[in-house]
Amino acid sequence: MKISMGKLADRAFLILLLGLIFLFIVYPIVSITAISFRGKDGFSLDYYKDILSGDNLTLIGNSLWVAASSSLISTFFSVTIALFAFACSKKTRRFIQNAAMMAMISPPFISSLAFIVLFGRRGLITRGLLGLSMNPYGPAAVILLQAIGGIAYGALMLIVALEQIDGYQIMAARDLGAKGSTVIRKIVLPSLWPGILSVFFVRFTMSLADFGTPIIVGGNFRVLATEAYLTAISTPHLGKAAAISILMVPSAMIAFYFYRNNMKAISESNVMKEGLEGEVRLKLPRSFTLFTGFCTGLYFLIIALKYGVTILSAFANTSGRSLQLTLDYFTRLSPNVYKSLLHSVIFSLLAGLLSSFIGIAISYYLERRKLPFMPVVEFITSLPYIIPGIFFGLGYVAAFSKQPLYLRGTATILISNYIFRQLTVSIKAANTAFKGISENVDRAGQDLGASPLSIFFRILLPQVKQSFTSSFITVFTSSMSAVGAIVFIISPGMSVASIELFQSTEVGEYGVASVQALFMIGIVAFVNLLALKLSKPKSAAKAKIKVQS
Amino acid sequence: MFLEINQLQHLYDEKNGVREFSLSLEKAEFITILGPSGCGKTTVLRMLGGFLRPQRGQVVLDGQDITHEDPEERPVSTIFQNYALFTHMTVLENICFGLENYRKLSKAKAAEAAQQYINLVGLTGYEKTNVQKLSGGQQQRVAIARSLAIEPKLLLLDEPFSNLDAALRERVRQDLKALQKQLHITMIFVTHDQEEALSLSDRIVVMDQGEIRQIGQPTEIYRQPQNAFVRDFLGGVEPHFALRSEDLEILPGSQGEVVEKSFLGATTAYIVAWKGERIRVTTLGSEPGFDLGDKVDIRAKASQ
Repeated sequence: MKISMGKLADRAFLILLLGLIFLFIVYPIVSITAISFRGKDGFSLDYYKDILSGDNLTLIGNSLWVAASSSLISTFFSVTIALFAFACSKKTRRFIQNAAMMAMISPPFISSLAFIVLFGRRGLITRGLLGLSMNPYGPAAVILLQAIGGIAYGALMLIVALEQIDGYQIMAARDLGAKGSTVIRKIVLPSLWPGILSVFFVRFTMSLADFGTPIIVGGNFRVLATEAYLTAISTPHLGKAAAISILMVPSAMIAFYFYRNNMKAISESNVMKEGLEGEVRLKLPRSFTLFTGFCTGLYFLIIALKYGVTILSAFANTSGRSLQLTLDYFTRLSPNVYKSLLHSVIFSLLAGLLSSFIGIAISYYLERRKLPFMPVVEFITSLPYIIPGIFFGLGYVAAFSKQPLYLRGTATILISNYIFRQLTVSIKAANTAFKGISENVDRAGQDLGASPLSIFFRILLPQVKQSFTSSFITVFTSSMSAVGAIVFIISPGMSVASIELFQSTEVGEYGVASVQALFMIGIVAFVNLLALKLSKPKSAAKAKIKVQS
Repeated sequence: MFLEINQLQHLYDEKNGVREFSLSLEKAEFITILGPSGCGKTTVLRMLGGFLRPQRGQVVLDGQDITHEDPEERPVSTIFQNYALFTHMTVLENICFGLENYRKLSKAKAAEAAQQYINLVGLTGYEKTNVQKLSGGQQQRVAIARSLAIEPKLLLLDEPFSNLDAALRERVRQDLKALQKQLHITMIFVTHDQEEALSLSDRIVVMDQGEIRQIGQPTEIYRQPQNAFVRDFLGGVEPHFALRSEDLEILPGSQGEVVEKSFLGATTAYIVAWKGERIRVTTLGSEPGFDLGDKVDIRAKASQ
């Protein structure tokens, strides 16, 4: 049987993709899971028994109630902000969405940083303004900061969910006499419920897995995540750290379930087209608009404060008796910091490009060619995203610390971690994009003699540019900020900006940390804007014409 | 007049929208707005329902000016094209919604009243069924019951039958007509289907590009179109004869030749090449048939 070159190349490409997935996703996860079950003589549950005993139970308890509290607060604000945006005019809604996206591009820890600068022992507000010398560290601070961190993402998700509500149902409700508040209670909130659950559980999982915030502002308060981090950093025994991280996985699974539910509900709804111009807006009770507006305003005020304080502490010494402007933090920046920044940018760019490309390729085999085993592959690719970052990171330590796969200290290990953690984002985006292209296009290509890879590269790929760009931006931004997954696989000389930032904050170098944060924000914002500009060929062309005439 | 619509206007831009729409209705009249997609019929409905602010004009219903009233205040109810049922509720809950919110009945009283409407539309026994489990025809009946339950002074229907198959559509049309007569409700029905408009309405309003082209009874609209648009939208006339295709007949002859034949069930449509024109002639099944290539003559039917 003669197999054509085209088919051969196609098979080879597919095998390459599957090989990458096996090597960089399956192998690390299996390795670290295996280690957690390894005792002195083979299989053992020692690590687990240890964790689920005595002292450690308080750890688990701490983690759970902190995660629950921060998720409740975060979800509450996300819901109120989303409802406010929904009740506003389209213009205001877009504005709020953009503001929320701005809030999300900040690197991690700068909320904690701003918090310390304002409310720390030598804080601007606690000592400067109020003359108090208090210790703000502890669970309350952790809950507060984790909550703040989750609001933007939740609000954006819920706004999308709200826009998917069948506009006709709202019209029908009003037609039948329902006042604005009844419409919200009886139609909007029930429809929003899957989204709310999704936001809550995702936030819960991320709080559980967050070790940075508790380390920086938790004081003596310890949670599972801190324990996992400290164990992995200080001892060569990954087993215990791995076991601790595995405890966080069930929560992640639950979150994933609700997340999928919500996504399904969103994609299956048939949306009423863009609202009518001149449309009569919902009449909502004053108290509702005031309350939700207040919450929204409060949140954005906090965000503005966060950025403002970061800028301030980059240019001034905030811990002295009085505020002294200085450029010391800039001039005294160690070359290591610049090197790490460069690493961050290059690695994140590469990760963005490769992840988007590989994601589209996999989506092609999954969504387009509908190969039978691809749904399993899709599930596998979503694992790194669901599980806590430190777990995935530990997996890379376990998998790539021995020959012949010794990748410690290389750029490869970092870049691949970035790529494969985010891969599912690119795949999902590509899936959606592909759904919009009629399958007859593929058939026409085949009909006209094109090989499968040819169809992919020359017909389909050019049509998913939008999806490519949006995945690229998402992966780039997330990679710049990623900490948990890579904190164990960096090494001296091969570090990234997010880790440097973490370390500066940890040791109390707030001025330096602020400077690093500003650099990171600037770069991420710049790349985001650039990518958006480049992805709109029509407006770029229009702009050219305007300039010429 | 029970309903007075005066110079209603809403323009989206220079080309799209509704201009100077005026219409008066008697109580319990069944009016259809008929026209092609984009003619503005849905825009009129939205303004009557309260979902779109008119830029100009007035709507007076039973002596009250409701032009700027919110939808939840108006004694008007709309049945949407996709029914817009509350998918997370049962049949009973959907119908009780208006009773509790608009007529402000208590939960108990509402359930009682709702039952009557459920029986009226023939859905007895389905009270506790979630509406998503119903068939298209059943969902439509829930939509009708739901709107009727609030006892609106004016009922608006936005192409409610377009999602049903042909056989069902026929039956449902007659049921609606019977219901309307029984309950004496004033209805405005919107459609692009001329058969529907002709069979259901007391009067038809033909619209095109945002303007009214003619208002009249079905027979008037069909037999005495006042302009080319109305004439052509309702079937058009054949060249040379200026008569509708069913008002012509074919007989064996020599001046023309049958070039196309389409069997449509109850009727057969022929296209005859005749003096350089293509003339369409529609014959009833019972009339004698012809074949492709036959030499024929055409003349106006005697019964005019």
